[in-house]
Amino acid sequence: MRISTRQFQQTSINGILERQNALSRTQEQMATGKRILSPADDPVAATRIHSFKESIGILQQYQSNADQVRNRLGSEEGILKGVVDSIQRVRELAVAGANGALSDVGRQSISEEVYTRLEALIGMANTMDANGEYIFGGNRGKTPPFVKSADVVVYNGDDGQRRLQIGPDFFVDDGDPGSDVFMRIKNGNRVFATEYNPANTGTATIDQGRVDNIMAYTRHDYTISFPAAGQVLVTDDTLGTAVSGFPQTYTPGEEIVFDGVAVTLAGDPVVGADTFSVKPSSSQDLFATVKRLADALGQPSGLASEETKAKMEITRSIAELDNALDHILNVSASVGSRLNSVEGQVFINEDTVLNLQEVMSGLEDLDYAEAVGKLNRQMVGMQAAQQVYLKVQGLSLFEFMR
Amino acid sequence: MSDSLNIGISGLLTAQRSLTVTSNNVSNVNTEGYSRQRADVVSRLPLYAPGGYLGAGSSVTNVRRVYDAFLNGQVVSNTTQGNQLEVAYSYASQMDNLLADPQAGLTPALQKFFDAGRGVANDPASIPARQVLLTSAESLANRFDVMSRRMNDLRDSVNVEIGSIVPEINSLAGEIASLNDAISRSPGVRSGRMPNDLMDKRDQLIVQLSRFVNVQTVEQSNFSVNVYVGNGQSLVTDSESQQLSVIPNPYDSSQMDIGYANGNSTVNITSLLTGGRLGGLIDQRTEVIEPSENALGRIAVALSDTFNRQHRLGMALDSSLGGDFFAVGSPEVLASNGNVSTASISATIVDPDLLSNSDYKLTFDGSSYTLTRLSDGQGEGPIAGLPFTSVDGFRIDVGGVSPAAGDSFLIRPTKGMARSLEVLISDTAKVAAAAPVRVASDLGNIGSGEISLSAVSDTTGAEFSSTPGALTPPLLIEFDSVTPNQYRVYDASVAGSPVLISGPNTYDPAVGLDVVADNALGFGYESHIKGEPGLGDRFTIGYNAQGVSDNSNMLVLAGLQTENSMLKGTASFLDAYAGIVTDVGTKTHQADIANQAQQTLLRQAVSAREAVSGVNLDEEAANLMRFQQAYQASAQVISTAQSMFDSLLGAVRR
Repeated sequence: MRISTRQFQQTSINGILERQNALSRTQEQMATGKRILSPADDPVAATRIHSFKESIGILQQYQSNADQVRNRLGSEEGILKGVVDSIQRVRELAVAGANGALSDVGRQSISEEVYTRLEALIGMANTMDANGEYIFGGNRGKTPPFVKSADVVVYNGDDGQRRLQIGPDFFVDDGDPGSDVFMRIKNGNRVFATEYNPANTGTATIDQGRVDNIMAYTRHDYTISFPAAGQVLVTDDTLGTAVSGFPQTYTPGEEIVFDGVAVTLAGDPVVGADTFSVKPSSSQDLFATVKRLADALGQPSGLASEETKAKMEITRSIAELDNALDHILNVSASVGSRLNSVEGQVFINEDTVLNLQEVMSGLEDLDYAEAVGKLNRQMVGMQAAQQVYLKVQGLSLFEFMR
Repeated sequence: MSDSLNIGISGLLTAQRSLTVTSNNVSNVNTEGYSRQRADVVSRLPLYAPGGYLGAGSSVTNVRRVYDAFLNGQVVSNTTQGNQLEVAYSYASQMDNLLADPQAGLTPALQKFFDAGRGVANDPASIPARQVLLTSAESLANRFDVMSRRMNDLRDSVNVEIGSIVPEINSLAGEIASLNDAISRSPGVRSGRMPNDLMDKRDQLIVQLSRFVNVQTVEQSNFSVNVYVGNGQSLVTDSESQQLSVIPNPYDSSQMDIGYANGNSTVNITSLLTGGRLGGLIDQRTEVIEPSENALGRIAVALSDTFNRQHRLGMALDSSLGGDFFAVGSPEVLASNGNVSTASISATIVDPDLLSNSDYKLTFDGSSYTLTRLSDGQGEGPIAGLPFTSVDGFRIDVGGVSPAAGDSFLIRPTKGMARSLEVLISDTAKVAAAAPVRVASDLGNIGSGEISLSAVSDTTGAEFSSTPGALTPPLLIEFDSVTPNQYRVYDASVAGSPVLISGPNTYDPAVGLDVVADNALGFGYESHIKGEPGLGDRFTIGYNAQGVSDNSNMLVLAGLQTENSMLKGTASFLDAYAGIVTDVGTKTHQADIANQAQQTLLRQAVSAREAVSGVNLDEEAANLMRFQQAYQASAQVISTAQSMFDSLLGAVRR
C-alpha cells in the first residue's frame, strides 16, 4: 500500500499520544490506589460500590448506636446494683427491728436509718445521665420522675421505652421506665395479698398465704370475719355472697382454704369486729414498702394489739422487700442480657463491615503488583515509540540527493 | 532536424510542466486536504512522412488530482460521527464526574443527613444532636442545589456551543457556495480540466462542515455541489447559501434551538439535525442532561414528600405536632410562545413514588386535551376537560381562561425540584422526634396486660387538632371488675367522670386488642393491648406532652433511608441516585468506547484517502529526478539538433 509522508509521521505521533494517554491513566490509578476512577470505567462495579458504601455507613451508625446502648445500660446496671444493696441493707434492718427484745429507742434509730435509706433510694431513682435526662423517667426525660407528695412517692414519668437500632431489624431498649423498675412490684405472694384491717383491736394475725389451687382462684376480693366465737366467715366481696362452706370453725394456727386460696390465721380476734382481707396481688412501689417499714419501726411499743400490728407490718415488709429484690434483680438480669446481645451484635456488625470492605476493595482498589507491571510495560512501549519516531524521521530520499 | 528540435522543445516543456507539478506536490506535502496531482502526458500527433509516421514529441494535456470520491465520502461521514461521539463523551463524562465525585455527589450528604437523624434518635432531647440534623439537612439541600446548578451550567454550555457553531456553519456554507461559483465558472471545466486546488479546498470545507453537522452532498452537472442538512433542508444550492439561525425554544426561551429560514418564516429544525458536534450537543441535552436533572429533582421531591409526611406524624420538643420539614417548588409548566390564549395550566405532585423521569407535552385541539410523555411518546387522553387527576404521580389543572385550539404546554414535573428544595425548620425544638400519643397502664393494675402504641397514621384529624397539645378525647380502657376479659372504652376528658364510648366488649387474650380499630373509633393512631389484664385494670391513651426523650418518630424517619419509597416502591433514595449514576456511567462508558472505535475508523478512513491522495516525498523525489533527467535529455536533443544544424551549415559554407 502507498503511504503518504504526512500519514507516515502522523502514525508515529498518534502512537506516542496513545501511549502517553495510557501511561497517564496508570499513573493516576497508582496515585489514587483506585482501579475505578469514575463510574464509566466499570458502571456495574460502581453501582455495587455505591451500595456497599451505604451499607457500611449504616453499619457504622449501628456501631455507634450500640456504644450508646452500652453506656446507658451500663449506667443503669450500676444504679440497680446500688438499689439492690440498699434493699438488702433495709431488709437487714427490718430483721433486726423484728427482734422483740429491742428497746423503743433502738427501734427508733433503726427507723431513722430506714428513712435515710428511703431518701437515698429516691435519689437513685432520680439519677440523670450525662445529657441531663432522667434515666428512669420513661419518655419524660426532663421531668423529675419520682416526687414525694404528702406521704407517698408519685411517679411523674411515663411507660415510654426508647429503642435504638443496632443491627438490621435488631432494636434494643436502651433503658427501663421507672414505673416498670420501682412501681410495678407485685405485693403479697404475687397472686394475692392479705391485709389486716387497721381498726382491728384483737391480737389475731394473718400470714402471706399460699396458692392452694390456681385453677380455682377467682381473683375476687374476700373479707375474712369472725361472726361468732370460734367461727370464721369468708365473704366474696366481688359477688357479695359468703363463700360456700363458711362460716366454719375457727382454730387458731390452722389453715383455712377457699376458692384456691389458703391462709393461716392465728391469735385471738375480737368477734364481730376484726376483719382481714384477701385481694388479688397488685403493684406496690418500693418506696411505699420501705416507708411502711420505717413507719412501723417508728411506732412506740404499747398495747398488745398495736404490738401485733407492728410485728405483722415488719414481717410483711420483709416479704415485700424480698419481692422488690427479686423484681429489681429481674430487671438487672434483663439489662445484662441486653448488654450481652449488644456485644454479640457488635461483633456481627464488625464482621460484616470487614467483609463489605474486603469485597469493595476487590472491586475498587488497585492491584499494585499488576499496576507496576503494567507501568513498566507502558514505559518501555513509550520509549520505543519515541525512538522509532526519531529514527524514521531521518529516512528520506532527499537525504541522499546532495 | 527541425523535427528533432521541435520534439526536443516539446520534451523540454513536458518535463518542465511535470517538474512544476512535482514541485507543487512537494510544497503542499503538509497542506490539509491537498490531493497529489499528476500531469497527463501524451505523445503528439505523428507526422506522415515517406517511410512511415514520425513521432512529434509529447505534450501535457491535463493536470489531474489523484482523488477517490468514495474515500473522501468515508472521511466526511466518519468525521461527522467522530465529532458527535466526542461531544457525547465530553458531556457525559462531565456529568459522570459530577455525579460520582465522592465529595460532591449526593451520597455523602444523604448519608450524613440520615446519620444525623439517627443521632437524634439516640438522644432526642439533645439540642446539639438536633442542631446537627438541621445543619446536615441544610447541607443536603445545598448539595441538591449545587448539583442542579452544575447540571444547569452544562445546559448553558450547550447553548453557548450551539450559539458559536451556527455562525461557523453559515460561513462554511457561504464559502462552499462561492467556491461552487468559482469552479463552475473556471475556464476549461467543460473540457475536463478541473481547477484541482479549488476542488480540494471545497472538499476540505465539506469535511469541516461535517464536523459540525451531518450533511448530504449532491454533485451537479455544472460541477457545483449542493449541500443538505436535516431531512433535506438545503444549505448550499449552486452559488447560493441558506442561513441557519439560533432561535429560542418555543416553550423554554432559555434553551437555544436551531431555526431554518423557509420563505418569510423560520422553522425549528432542531429535532431533525443529527451528527457532528451540533447533533451530539442536541442528543446530550435530551438524553443525558435533562434526564439527570429530572431524576435528581425526582429524588428531591420524594425525599421532601416522604420525610414531611412522616415528620407531620411526630411531636416536637415543645410538645407541638410536627410540621413540614422540607419544602420544594411546584412543577414547571411552560406555555408555547405560539399559544393564542393566555390560559394558565398548573401541575401538582400527587405521589412522588409514581413520578417518571420524563417531561410531558399537553395539547388542546379545541375540544379535548392530550398529554404525551416525551420519553416514549406514550399518550394520555384525549379527555374533554381538565384535570388529569393522576398521570405518573402528578395532576394537571387549568385555571381561569380556557386554552384555544392548538395551544400546547410543556410540563416538567421534576426538573426544578432539586434547585428549590429548602429546609423549613430552623428551630431545633421543632424537630418532631417523638410520637404524639402516650399510652400507659395504671400502676394499680393487677393483671399482666400491656399496652403499646402501634402506629400513628394521621395527625390532621379532630382528635389531634381540636385542642393543640392534647388528645381529644383522651381514652380510658377499663376492664370489668367482675366479668373477666370484658372491657369498656371511655372518653376521659373530664378527670374522674369518664363517659362511655364503647362497650362492654369481649377481650380475647390470645388475640389482644387493637383499641382504635376494634372499636371503630376512626382515630389517626392505633394502640394494642396484649397479655391478660386483671379485673378492673385500666389503660390510658393521651397526648405525649413532655415526652422529650421519646424517639419513636425519629426512628421511623431515620429508617426512611432504606425504605423503598421511590420508583413505584422499588428503590430507596440512594438506590434512585445510584440509578442515575449507573445510567450516566453506562452512557459515558458507551460513548467512550464508541468514541475510541470511531476515532480508529476516522483514522483508517483518513489513511485510506491519504494512501491514494497523499503526497509521498520519496516518490516525489524519484519523480523529481526522473523529470530532471528527461529535461536534461530533451535539452541534449535540442543541442544535438543544434549541432546537426551547425554541421549542415558548416558543410554548406565550405
